[in-house]
Amino acid sequence: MTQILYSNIGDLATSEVLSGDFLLLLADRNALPNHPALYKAEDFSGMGSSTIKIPQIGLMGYNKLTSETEVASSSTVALTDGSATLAVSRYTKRYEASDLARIVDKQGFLRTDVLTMDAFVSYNATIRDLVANLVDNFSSTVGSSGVDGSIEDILDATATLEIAAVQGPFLGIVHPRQWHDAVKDVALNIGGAVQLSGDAQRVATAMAGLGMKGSFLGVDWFTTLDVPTANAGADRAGGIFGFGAIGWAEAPLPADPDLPQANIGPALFEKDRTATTATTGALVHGYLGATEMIDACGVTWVSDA
Amino acid sequence: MPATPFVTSDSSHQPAGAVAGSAFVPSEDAEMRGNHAPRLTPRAAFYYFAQPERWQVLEGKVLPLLGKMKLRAGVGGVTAGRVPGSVNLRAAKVDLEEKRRILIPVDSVPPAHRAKSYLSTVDGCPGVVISLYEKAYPGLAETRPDTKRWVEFLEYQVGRTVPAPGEHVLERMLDERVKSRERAMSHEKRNTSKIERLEQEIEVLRAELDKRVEMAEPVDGSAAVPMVEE
Repeated sequence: MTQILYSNIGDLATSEVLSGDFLLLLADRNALPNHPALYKAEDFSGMGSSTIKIPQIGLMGYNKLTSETEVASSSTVALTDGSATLAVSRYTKRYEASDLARIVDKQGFLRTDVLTMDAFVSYNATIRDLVANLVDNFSSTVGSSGVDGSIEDILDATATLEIAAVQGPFLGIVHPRQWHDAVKDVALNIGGAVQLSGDAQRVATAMAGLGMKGSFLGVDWFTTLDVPTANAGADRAGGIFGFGAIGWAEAPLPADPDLPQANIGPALFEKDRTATTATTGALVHGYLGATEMIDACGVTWVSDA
Repeated sequence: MPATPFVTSDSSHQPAGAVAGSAFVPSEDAEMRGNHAPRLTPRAAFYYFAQPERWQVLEGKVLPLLGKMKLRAGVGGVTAGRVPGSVNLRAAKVDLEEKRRILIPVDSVPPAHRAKSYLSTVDGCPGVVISLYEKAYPGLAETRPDTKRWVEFLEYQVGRTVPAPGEHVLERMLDERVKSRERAMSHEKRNTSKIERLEQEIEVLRAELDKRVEMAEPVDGSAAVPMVEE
């Protein structure tokens, strides 16, 4: 046989060559919306503590006037107050690559601009995770363990919020399983006014994918995989809430011009060269925190996972 | 180069005139790739807590619907501890108490479950802490509940770490289900599973309320007489 076969030229070809393209592995990459239902605390710079107490005051219509006779002395009214504690903590991520890895990097995934983009997306994902991990704890709940989420659950939640005097707009941070159970309820129940509404039809045919889903039944919806489970993983526990339920904070650290650092918004990105080992680190630091503030401003939605 | 199988039959069963062959076993160069550990993403440890208003009907019983205090710095007032990897819960616990929430000690586990903690790590998944009542499986990104033992765990807490639900809580839960059943019967007649579930839950709640009536202790007060000029 004198034919030149690929299988016979092992010294002239490699078994596989890396493509110049790459695909991102699956992950939840959506940042939380800048929604009015989320309270963003003030900048922690120069505060004197990594923990702040956010006061709650019963003013602006909290106490109504009482009727008195013409010359009776006005009775005093107690001022109701409360507070929530918000602490920021350090969050960080570090990649470290050897010089040789950087030399042979074909796709460019070790380039500083790529790692900077990764830092930015990861920082926002961390904020989303912190906030989503609070929606399962509200005292008020709707839905049932082991039962698919439904339109009735959503209506119950908005009713609960309104009865508790929570001001809209409401934000729903839920697991995609909960969202799609409700969408199925929209699609499969025939004849109800809700199912036949334009909003419901838009929801049922909405583009798939995590993140912002639009408004439906008076709630702006956001889906994320970070929504916690309940009942030992049997259920998901998302939340629907108005302003005052959840607060978050970040403490920006300005980049030092004398160091290889740059600010990506409030996050600090820096490179760290270790000459003795010929490695270069790419780090991102952020100081973040989130807390539940007024419990009654939110409702936890428990439904089958 | 692997041989191409063209005969699969055994010579003992060889029909007359057919070409003989031998058994063929495909061979593979590559070793099996892949990680067979569960594919769980990192999850912080947590403490369960109960809330006076949060109850549910689960497996025919009225049980607390527990929340989770995530032991993660930056969440709910939790801060980083002095020892690397530890957390400081001082502010978080104050916040919890102000919200009338009851922390369930991590060792409050039914003796029959033979565990020192209601939390568990998962082999092959660093940074993952799950409930003792969740089951992790190779290759799966989600856990499955151990419902029987979870219900036992919740039952164990009632009266020990979590006070039994107040009468008003049971009444509210009952009221919600009665209304929901009425709505389902008038608008979702075909949804028999929902109606049946609600009827079962109503029965459970009524039985629980009957038990409570004897123990009920409403808040004390005194007679209110409005001042009215005749």
